[in-house]
Amino acid sequence: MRILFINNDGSGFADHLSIDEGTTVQRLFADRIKGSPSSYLIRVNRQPVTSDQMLQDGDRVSFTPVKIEGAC
Amino acid sequence: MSWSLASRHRWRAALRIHQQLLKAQTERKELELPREVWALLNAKQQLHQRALNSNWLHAQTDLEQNLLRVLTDLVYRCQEVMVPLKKNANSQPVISVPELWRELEFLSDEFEEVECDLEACEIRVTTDAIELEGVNLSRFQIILEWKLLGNHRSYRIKALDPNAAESNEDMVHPHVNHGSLCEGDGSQGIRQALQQGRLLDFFILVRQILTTYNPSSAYLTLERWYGTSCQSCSSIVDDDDAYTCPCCGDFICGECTGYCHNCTDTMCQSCVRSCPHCENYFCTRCMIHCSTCVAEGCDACLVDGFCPSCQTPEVSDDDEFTESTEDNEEQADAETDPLCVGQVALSA
Repeated sequence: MRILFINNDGSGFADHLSIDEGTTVQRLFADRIKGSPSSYLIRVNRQPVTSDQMLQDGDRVSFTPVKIEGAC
Repeated sequence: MSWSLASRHRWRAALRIHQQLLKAQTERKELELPREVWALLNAKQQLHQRALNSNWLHAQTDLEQNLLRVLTDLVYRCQEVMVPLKKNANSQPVISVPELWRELEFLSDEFEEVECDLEACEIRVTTDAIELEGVNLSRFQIILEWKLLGNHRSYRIKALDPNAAESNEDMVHPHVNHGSLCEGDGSQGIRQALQQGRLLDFFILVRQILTTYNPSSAYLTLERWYGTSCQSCSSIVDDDDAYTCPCCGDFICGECTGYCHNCTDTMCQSCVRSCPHCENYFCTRCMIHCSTCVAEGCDACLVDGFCPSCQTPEVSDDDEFTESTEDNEEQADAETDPLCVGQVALSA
């Protein structure tokens, strides 16, 4: 199945991904992000979710770091 | 299903934002090829060829250096032309109006207040009160002016209940300067989110930067938010009137500074001392110690590292000559009478 995956960390990434049926948010995070889930705002279809939520075809998943350092 | 007034309002905003995003994506600027640099390169190459044919070695070397400079410039100018072409080649389809509408609808889940101003062409969201390192900076409004989408900076930050820095009333956040946010690590993410119309992501990214303190790159650090206290007399000093002692790093006011006669640096009075010999003031870095008695003094007063008290007296020239002559005589005797028995060898 295909989802829209958005990684707002660093240079950013937003594109469609093919994932296996039954993939959870936690599994996707572990596959795609180096870091702890507690350091990210995780949204599916623009809403906060639990890590065990199973993803559906067409979902929009975004990971945004909680701490983003500004710099002059 | 009937829509709320607010939802219809957001739909109209989504339509207009969609138009602006289309315009920003399809806008094409005239390409400026580096023709004059290419012409210069050709001219230099012809000269180089003539130098090769005539076997003028010095001219060849000169022209090769010239050619290198011109080629470097040409490469740089070509890369500048490539940037917008690459951007156009990689551009993704503009987000649809229904998706843009959803972006606006879900803003209310993330932010305390959301305003959609069709007249001013602005989306304004208000954050919760932000506290960093115990300093309450209060609420901020992130204002996106959608007519400016595609331009360098299409949004600004406004403090709603400013708790400005003591030394600068325009400083309302360590990473905001006159409404402009220092995006830092969030710069690329913000750029992409705006290009792709992911407005929810954009506002969240800006909020996360506002709620993160980076002391190593702040316009003004929070420890100085309530003013810089002179560490010598404790008075509060404006940023512009504060000095940092180069020796110990303390902040000091103009009244508490000292001056080094040698390095001419300005420092705190604890870090300057008077040379006991010339009575000028020197910093702890420029004071040296006598090699014998370890007493302090300046470089000018401690000759060869010795204080005036420990410097050895000079020996006179006559004394040197007499000593030298006596030494020579002793040496001559040793040569004629190496065994010191009062005998000398004679040739046959």
